[in-house]
Amino acid sequence: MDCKQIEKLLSAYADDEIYGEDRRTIAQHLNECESCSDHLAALKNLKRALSRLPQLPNQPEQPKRFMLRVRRRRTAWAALAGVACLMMAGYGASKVYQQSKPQTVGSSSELAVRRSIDRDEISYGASDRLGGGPAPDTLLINGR
Amino acid sequence: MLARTVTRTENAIREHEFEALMKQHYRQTFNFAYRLTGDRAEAEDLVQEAFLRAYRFIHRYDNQMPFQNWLYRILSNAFVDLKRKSRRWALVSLDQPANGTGTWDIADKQPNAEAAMMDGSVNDALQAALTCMNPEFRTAVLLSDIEGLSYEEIADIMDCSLGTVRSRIHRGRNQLRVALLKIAPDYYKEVAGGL
Repeated sequence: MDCKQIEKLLSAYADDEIYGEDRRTIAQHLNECESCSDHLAALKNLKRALSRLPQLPNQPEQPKRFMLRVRRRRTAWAALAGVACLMMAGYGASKVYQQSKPQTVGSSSELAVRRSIDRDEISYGASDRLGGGPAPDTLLINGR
Repeated sequence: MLARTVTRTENAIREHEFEALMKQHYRQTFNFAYRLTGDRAEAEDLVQEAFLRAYRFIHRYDNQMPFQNWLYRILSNAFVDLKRKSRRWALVSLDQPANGTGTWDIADKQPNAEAAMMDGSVNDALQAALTCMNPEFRTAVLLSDIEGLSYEEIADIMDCSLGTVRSRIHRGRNQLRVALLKIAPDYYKEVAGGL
């Protein structure tokens, strides 16, 4: 292995995560190569500096505050679920009520139009096609 | 009525047990979150999100894994999710971005880095350099160097292979030294003169 290949393995070597033949090869290379040896020493220093970063002070009130929030959230969800259930029940009840009501045939104006259609008394105004008079979609009943 | 009382009691026991677990693991988890984020408020949010997920999915916890490692897993996932959303980490690859074996550089100095240079604090400089790293590399390096976990445990936490852990730590340390060289060159020479 050359220095470039060794360099890729040095991090794992510094962490004692290289075993067997590879470990022996790296150790042998390190004995002969000053540059790679320095590299390993620097890696170990960096590791040591990280491991010595101070721990932050404890915050004993945080777990209690968290559980309080969890309880509040659960209560809110339960309330929301209750409201949703009530709304669904209300909707279901209104549907049942509507279905149980007798069906109405239609309003009086609808009936009048239907009768006119039956008597063939409905026509579109002639002026529709000429561009004057009522709007094209206006339906004339008996010329009115 | 009886069923409701039983459920309430079960919930109370569950909450009580979880609170005890939180008390036991909060400090270490918060410390790790702070080293990941470099920001106290962000760390608090992250820890809260992690504990919330842990509380919700506690039934999925397999006690073959230490509870602290399970928390690290949840926290790491939450952290990577957060960073993917915000895309605030500012690293730009200079040489070989595709295979990741090249050197790395910092695009911009972050506020933390500036503060570290102003007050000259070594720990702040190191923290600032950490926050310049890729989130996944940072997670792997911190789990190894601060939490002292083995590569196998890190692979378990990060749900990846041993080779990936090895690569993330190697590349992460490269990023760290480049960041440190920019942020605090004197300290870098003192700590990592040979690199």
